Amino acid sequence: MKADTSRAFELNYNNEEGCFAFSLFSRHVLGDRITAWIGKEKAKVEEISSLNGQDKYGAYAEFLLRFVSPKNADKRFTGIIRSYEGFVIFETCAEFEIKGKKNKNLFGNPYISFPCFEGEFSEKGCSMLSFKRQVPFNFPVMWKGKVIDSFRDGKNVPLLITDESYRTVLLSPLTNLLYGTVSISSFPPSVRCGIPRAIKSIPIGTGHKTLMVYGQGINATIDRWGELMRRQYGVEAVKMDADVSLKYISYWTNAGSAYWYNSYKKADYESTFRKLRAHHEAIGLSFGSYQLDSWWYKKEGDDYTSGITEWEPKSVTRCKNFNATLPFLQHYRDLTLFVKDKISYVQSIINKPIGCHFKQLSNESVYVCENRDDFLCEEFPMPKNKEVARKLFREIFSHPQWRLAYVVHDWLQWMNDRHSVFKDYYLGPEYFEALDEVCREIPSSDNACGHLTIQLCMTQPHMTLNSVTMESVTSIRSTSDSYSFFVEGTKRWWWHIYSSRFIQALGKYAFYDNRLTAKRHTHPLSSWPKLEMIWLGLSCGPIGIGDPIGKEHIELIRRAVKEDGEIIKPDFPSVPLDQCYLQNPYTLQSERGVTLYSHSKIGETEKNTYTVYYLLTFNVHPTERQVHMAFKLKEAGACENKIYVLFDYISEEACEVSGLTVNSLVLNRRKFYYHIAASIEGDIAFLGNTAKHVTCSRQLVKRVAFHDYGVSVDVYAETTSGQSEVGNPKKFRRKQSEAAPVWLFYCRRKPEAVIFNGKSAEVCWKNGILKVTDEEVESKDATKSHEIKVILRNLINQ
Amino acid sequence: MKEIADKEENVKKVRTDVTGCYVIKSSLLTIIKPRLLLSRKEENEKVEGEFLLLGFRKKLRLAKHKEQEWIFQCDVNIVTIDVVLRFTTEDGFKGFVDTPIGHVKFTGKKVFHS
Repeated sequence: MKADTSRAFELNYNNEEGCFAFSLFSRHVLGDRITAWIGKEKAKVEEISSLNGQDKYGAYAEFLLRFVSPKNADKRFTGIIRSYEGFVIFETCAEFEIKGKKNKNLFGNPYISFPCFEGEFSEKGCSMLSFKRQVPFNFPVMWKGKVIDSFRDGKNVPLLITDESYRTVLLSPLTNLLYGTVSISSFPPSVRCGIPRAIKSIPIGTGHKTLMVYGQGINATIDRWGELMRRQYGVEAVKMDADVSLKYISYWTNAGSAYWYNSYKKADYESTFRKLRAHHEAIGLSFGSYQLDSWWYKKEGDDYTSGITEWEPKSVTRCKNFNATLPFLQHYRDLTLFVKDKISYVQSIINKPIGCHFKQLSNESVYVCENRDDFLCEEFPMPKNKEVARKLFREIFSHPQWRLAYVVHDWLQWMNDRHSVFKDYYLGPEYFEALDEVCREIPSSDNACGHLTIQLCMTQPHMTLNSVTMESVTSIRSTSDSYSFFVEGTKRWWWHIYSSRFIQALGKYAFYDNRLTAKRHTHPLSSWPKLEMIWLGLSCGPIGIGDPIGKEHIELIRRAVKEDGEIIKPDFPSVPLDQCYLQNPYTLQSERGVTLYSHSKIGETEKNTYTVYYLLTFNVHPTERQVHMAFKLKEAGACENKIYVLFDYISEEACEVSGLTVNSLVLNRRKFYYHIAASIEGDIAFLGNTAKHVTCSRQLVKRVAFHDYGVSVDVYAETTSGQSEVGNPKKFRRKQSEAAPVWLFYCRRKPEAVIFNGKSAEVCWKNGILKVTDEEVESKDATKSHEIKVILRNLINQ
Repeated sequence: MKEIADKEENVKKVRTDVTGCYVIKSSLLTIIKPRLLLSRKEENEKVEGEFLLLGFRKKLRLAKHKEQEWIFQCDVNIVTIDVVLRFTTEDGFKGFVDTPIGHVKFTGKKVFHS
């Protein structure tokens, strides 16, 4: 096909066999032919034509085919293959109604399979990444060998295939995202795309598109795929500060946090929140929002699956502990919530924007009882159509007297498995469309995007995929509930690495769930806050803290945020190096760790930009036995002919490397490396503020300019929050001074002078590292910047 | 040639008749060897499974059967667990338990015909 100038995608129609001979990168990574099936019959080609054209995606070459079932001439469909530069869109249009079958499941094979990749599948060096189809939280599945060697038959969306040279192909539905499938079948071996027969009825004329993106580089291909998905629906990637949960650090009361169905010193929730707010103010920790989980609203009974009866605060809830390691030690008690069960009253206690939990309604809910005919009542009710759904969400989410900034829509997988609406071609997608439309209608002055936003939770992979159509969705939970017994530690890390990549590619941000930052956890498989807080900053998603009062690791939290609680972020969410997709690091046989990278580019124009790279390397072996990792800075986007300083953030040691130097690391149990790399320009490099994790974020550094004499840097001043000295405990006052900026430079020789805001400062240089501390900690104005000049050569004296 | 044909026939026979008691081996269970009992109540009824570990019993219902792949399901609280068995040899299978937090691989070897 002509539109593909790289000739990576080869497609030729074989007249005798009535199918396309096919190869990608001159290999058969996805079989060697493309066929079409209607049910269990291979469809026959009746007509074929080809043409060239141009549309919103660019120039294309097209094959148009008409297929018919060999057993029933009424069963026909039109198939289109459009090849663009670097991607192919396959389209089908059914000319008959497909009636669903009850015994089929949503994750099975499609009824009209086009394209169907068959024949000989390459094995050598192929690695696959997909996501478990039927479980919440997008659990990653990785395997090596042939694509058809998947653990499970059925839906694998999206499906990524790569080889040792990082030649990558990614396959996913482009339309009908909630139902479209890329299905792996073992009998016979094939990869089939289309809509499964579990849908109640697929009307005549239903079109379905499948997207195949291919190219060099795994991360590059994933990004390209995400960009095409967004282009299809005319949506932009969510901005890093779109809502209050993305911009500021937030306090969470969901599963795993200290105050999830639990209160401070067995008191009520009201006093717990009052104490929390007072404590956070006293220690100078500014949270942008507070999240209220399922304990706050009226539910039908105490079971955790019970539906909402009224989305209003209730007076009493039952204290329970679902994650208890020793269930027989659990005890239940009634827990008083608020004196007045009014939303405005709850808002007045918290006095900050809030994010609230939402799930399915109960059949006895006030919203359903008002108009029972408007709902399809099964195990739980679902709106009968889009208009009803819109009306419901408007009624629930619009409250003039509170600052609802985001809604956490939970239990989506549970809902999907238990209601027929999610097997209906129209109603399933309409539920999400109505939710999105209403959230975009409801204003929120606390969010930069100006409207209410959504975080999706317990999404199955197809729901995550469908979120690309929902502009109001800003973040998606990537992993299971915090501190679940079997999930903490390396498993959660491995899970987040790959599921967050899927979420990021769609232009959303992954939420890792709440974290306890205290150094010691009682849980035997507890994760490691020191590593996780670095990673969360680099991930650019929400950071949710769930610590009990007085147990926060303040110094660690302050490294991730500015004084006003704004999360310090790099230019893009950290992603694994391409080599990390080639094997599954979470296997007993694994001998490799994982490196994630991101960067910050300082400067307006391409010519004057200065790039600082962040590389986080850690061990995700299930038993944390010793593994190795080796990377070149070039893999993270650095120039191969430049010299960089590689600064170890933990040990504070620096060394000079080129973009092609192999940096080998040994990762023992609980060992991780966080490296900052910056190019050396005329014997000097700037590494940023090491009092923060993302040292050279654009939020901290305004300008970096190299001169003949050395370097001058403009850095932003920090704002102070208005905490009182009186209520500020001594131990926290000490920690506050530790958060003072430490600007770091790498100098090959001792500088002659350091000038801070026009005044000469002390030259504190040792082993190549120059530390410049901000002496004027107390005078703060966020709009102002300070200038730091490091003079290596005094040109006047020369 | 006849021997090969006989062997193939035997494999086919085992695949169609998978009932029996199997000892399960998994890297997670090195000391205790659980058993999986596959049986039919009547001749043409669906195969049912029962997982036995010391005194613990869990019933498995057949969800899907295609060629040598048999998929059983059971519910643990709100979570559906799939047990996938592939009868690739004459007297045993390779399989895995498909849980929400990953796959647990195991193998099974037939101990007697039920």
